[in-house]
Amino acid sequence: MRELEQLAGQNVKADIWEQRAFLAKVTGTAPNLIYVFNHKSQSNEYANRSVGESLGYSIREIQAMGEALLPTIIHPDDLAKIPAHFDVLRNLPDGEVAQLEYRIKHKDGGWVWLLAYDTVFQRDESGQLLRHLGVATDITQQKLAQEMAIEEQRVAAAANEELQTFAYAISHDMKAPSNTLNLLLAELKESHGDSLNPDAAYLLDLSLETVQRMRGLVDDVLNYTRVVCEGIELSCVDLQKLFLEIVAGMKAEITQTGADVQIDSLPVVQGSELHLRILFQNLIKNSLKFQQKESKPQVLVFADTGSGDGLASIHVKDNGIGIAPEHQQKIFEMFKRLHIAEQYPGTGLGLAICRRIALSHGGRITVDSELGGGSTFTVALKVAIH
Amino acid sequence: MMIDDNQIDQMLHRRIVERSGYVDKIISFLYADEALEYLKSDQSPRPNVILLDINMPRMDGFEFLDEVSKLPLEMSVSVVVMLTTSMDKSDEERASTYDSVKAFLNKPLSTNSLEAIAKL
Repeated sequence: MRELEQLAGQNVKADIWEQRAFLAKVTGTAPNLIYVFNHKSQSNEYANRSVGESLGYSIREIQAMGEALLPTIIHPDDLAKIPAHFDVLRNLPDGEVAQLEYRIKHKDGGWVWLLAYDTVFQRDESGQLLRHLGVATDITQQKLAQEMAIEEQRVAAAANEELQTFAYAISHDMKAPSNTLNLLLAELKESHGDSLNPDAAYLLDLSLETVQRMRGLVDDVLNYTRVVCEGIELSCVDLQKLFLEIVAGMKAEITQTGADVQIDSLPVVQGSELHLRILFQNLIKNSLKFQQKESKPQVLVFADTGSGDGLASIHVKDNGIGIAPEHQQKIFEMFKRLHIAEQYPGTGLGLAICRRIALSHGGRITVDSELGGGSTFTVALKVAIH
Repeated sequence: MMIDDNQIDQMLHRRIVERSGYVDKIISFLYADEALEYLKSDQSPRPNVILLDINMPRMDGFEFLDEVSKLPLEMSVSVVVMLTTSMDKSDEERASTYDSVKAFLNKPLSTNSLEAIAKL
């Protein structure tokens, strides 16, 4: 019996010894700062050796600072956070952890960002907080990377905004001289056209044609930058009504091409009426434009809302020349064209504008087509919630 | 051979080339893929020099160069002059990676630059 007790005593001793060794290993190996703060003396009573490593101070120096520890080494802006944090600790239930991020002065004068996990360690007889134990991690690199990312984002946003403004200003300011040039050439033809030899008259006509093309390009770039720059104001847009208005506005082109445009029943969607008008106007214009010579355009607009993802698909189907599969992605890129200007005029911006609008509405635009077999453009838009 | 999707530019370049007297015959194409078909066929005359635009519908100048470099030697062309509207540095660097591209010129073509091409 006695032997058994002796044996048990030895086991307890061994346990304690092992626990101490374990603790020493943990605090000695951990890259974190581990400390015990006494709320009565307002000073650190314990810190593992990595305090010295991380901040350049020796354990002796930390202890010597005593009550002046916090005001001495904590960043003035973060010092104000400490009383509030201590309030949190005083009300913290046992076993819970309170976090705090703050800067602390390295002995070389630089600032080190710490993320502290503090927990109640000991209470006095009345249950008030006596000591708290904390583990702090150096998050300086993380903070610097974060700050750098924010700064880079700010620079990128500023550059982007500047570019948008620039594109807008350029296209806007190019409008005036291109108009003037158009007028000058038209006046030259009007006043002196009769006295020009045939070659000169031919060159003048080409000049007029070119300046018209330039005006078209300037207008499209202007529209594009408008769509990109202006934020969209969402409202409920009745597509049925919008399409009837678009078709009414294009009466001249529809009559001229002998087109048959059918509008099926269409839903009410969420969006900017102005932007959706630009989008669908472009699609209808394309349907009328990309046709075989002499063929009469047939355009059908219809919708389906049954996909269940809250999006309505609006289809614009035509009987035009169609698009080969290898070009079906390209056509939505800026300035991408599949034809020379004499065959089908254009700037290569129309579908880029359409895609931009669809995306800014949280929707998408796709095409289903085969060469010679017509095209169906599908725009998915959010259905309006009634 | 002249490959440019802009008909007016092509007409004006043709005038400049003809005026210079350096060239016997000009074969022109509005689409690069059609020019490629010509090179692949056994049609003559075979071109000595290609004046190549960069931005074109369907197949652009670089895509054309990629396709030409796949052709057997007898179908290929050793001197290509790239014509560009804006002197884009990255385009110029990209052009210099092709052995056949001997010059990279800004539009419009001038009699002087044509003289330089003739010396190539």
